[in-house]
Amino acid sequence: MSFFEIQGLRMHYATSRGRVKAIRGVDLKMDKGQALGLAGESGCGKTSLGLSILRLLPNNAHITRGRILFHGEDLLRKSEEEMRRIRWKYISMVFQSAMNALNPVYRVGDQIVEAILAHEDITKDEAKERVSELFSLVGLDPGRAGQYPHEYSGGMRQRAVIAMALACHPELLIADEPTTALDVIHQKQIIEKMDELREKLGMTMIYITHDIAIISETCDVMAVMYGGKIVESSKVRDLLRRPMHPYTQGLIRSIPPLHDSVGRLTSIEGEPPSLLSPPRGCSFNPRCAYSRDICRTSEPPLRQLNGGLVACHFAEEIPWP
Amino acid sequence: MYRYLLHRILQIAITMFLLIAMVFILFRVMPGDPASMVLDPKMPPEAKALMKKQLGLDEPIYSQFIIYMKNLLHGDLGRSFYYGRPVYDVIMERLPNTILLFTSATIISWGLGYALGKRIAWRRGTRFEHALTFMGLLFYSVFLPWFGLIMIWIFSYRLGLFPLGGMITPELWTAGGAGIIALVLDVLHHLALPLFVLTLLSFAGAMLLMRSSMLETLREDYILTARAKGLSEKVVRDKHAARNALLPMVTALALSLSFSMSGGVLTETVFSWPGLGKEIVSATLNYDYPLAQAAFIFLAAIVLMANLVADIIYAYLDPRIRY
Ligand SMILES: Nc1ncnc2c1ncn2[C@@H]1O[C@H](COP(=O)(O)OP(=O)(O)OP(=O)(O)O)[C@@H](O)[C@H]1O
Ligand SMILES: [Mg+2]
Repeated sequence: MSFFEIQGLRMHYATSRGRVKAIRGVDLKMDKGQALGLAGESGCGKTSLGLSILRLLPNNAHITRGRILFHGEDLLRKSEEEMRRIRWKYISMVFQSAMNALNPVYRVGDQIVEAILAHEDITKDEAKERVSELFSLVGLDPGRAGQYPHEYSGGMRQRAVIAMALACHPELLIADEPTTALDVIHQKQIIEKMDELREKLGMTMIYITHDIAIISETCDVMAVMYGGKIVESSKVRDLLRRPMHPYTQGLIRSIPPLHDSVGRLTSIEGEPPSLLSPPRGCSFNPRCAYSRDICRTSEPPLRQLNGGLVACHFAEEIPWP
Repeated sequence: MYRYLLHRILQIAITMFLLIAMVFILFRVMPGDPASMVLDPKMPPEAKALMKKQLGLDEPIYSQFIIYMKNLLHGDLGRSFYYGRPVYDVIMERLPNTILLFTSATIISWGLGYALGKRIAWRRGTRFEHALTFMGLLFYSVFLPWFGLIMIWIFSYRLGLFPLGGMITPELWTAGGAGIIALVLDVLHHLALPLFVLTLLSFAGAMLLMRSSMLETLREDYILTARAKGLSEKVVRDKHAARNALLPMVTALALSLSFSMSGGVLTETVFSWPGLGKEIVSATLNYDYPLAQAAFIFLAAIVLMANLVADIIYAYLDPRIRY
């Protein structure tokens, strides 16, 4: 039994224009303590996946198929009350819009205390004590716990949100682009901090980001999402050394080389697929240079190859320099 | 905060001054001659002129205004033409009645509007929401005097459950011997219908406002965070969503006070409630300048004060406000 596993998950949003099929069959497996980097273009369903795990999707979202197994138990079959007890205590999340994740009318420290007291039978003072520890942990002055969110800078808010996510020592942390709103220096600081904390606390983490450089520095495993599906996943080193899926290859080519000042940046041509009416066959086929007839008719399954997983009919034949 | 308060009080003083000037001029340019109302037409012209002089009506408008302001600052509001008594006394008799009707209607309607508004927003899309929203829109658009009269017709005239108007049963009060409880009940009995009408109307607006404010708030990211923290639905709804949705309510409450003031005037008139609003109407019809002016000014002062209170509450509720 794995620590955390997603099997055949499908989810759509009902909209006036039709169903937006944001997750179209996702399989994922994680061991305890692992850090998984989840990459993919904007709109490919990363946030939707994170929200599905915590069952925090908006009302127009419908999970139609699949299982989300946490310690072997299907979260999708839990009652609302059981789910409430799992949230934050066992699985917590740093939201993509971390900047606005704090309630403007309450003191930052109190908002963290509130989360702790919702799950643990300790006194308010003990909870406050823990807030101080958490603040020092993420590099915030504990003296500022009594301030309101608007008195914080963007970077401080981001740290506070991370401190809040760690408040109940969760087993699984989903961090959805926790540093998007920050400048590079702060980004680096916070990422390093989170990585350090993860190792210290033995947390399992799903790290959602566009930034492959960050994944390569902090994660063990990397999964690439495209059009609501995972198209490739393997150990970070393997995946970066030899990407198998043409989309992954394109993604890696589009990273600006760190040391090489002569940039040969190529971005992937074409539009991401419409999730309202996804293309038949492989959803990447309209943009793929290697696409053949079968790619337009049959959907490639996610299969084992070279120690990783890839969903491409011709993964063996596609070269990588 | 103190500087802010001082600033606001100064602002209120200026507003009051402009208002007084406006009301004063308004009554002077109104068609009809006050002198003809106050003075007996059969009086000899010399006596008329003398009376006019005594009442200060022979002076040019600007000096009348200066005299008026001077007296006002000394707390002298003049004499009511109609009652022949100091205006101040008349106002002081009416003011508590208006405050009773008005504050209870405001508190009940906004309290109810808040409580129901947050619930219907929370249960968006259910039949409960649709029914209450429809009802709210219905009452919101109803014409008040018409509604008031219908209520009187049904509950007072046909069913005889409530008095036709007024605030007390005079016999009960003059006879003596009635206990304090009986007197209070008598007032409440008279209060019920006008209070109901006034409450229902401003309640609808408050509920609809709270609903939309709450729907707005529910889309905020901190609500998602609150749910993710594993807080109970009730805590998310009340402590996180409603608490923030309340802020625009307070602002709107301040703004709508002047609106409901006019509702108050109509309600008082329809129900013959002996308040300032009813007095404004009759004093204006009687060309009783001093009384009408003073009643206007007091009503305006109440609205401005209520606004100030709303502002202070807002500052207390929203930590982002630092004056
Ligand atoms: N509440 C919603 N109603 C309808 N469609 C939605 C809703 N939320 C997201 N979507 C759609 O679902 C798809 C996946 O969105 P999602 O937010 O999961 O993408 P993402 O990978 O997190 O993108 P980004 O990198 O920009 O954050 C998008 O096409 C988006 O437009
Ligand atoms: Mg996202």
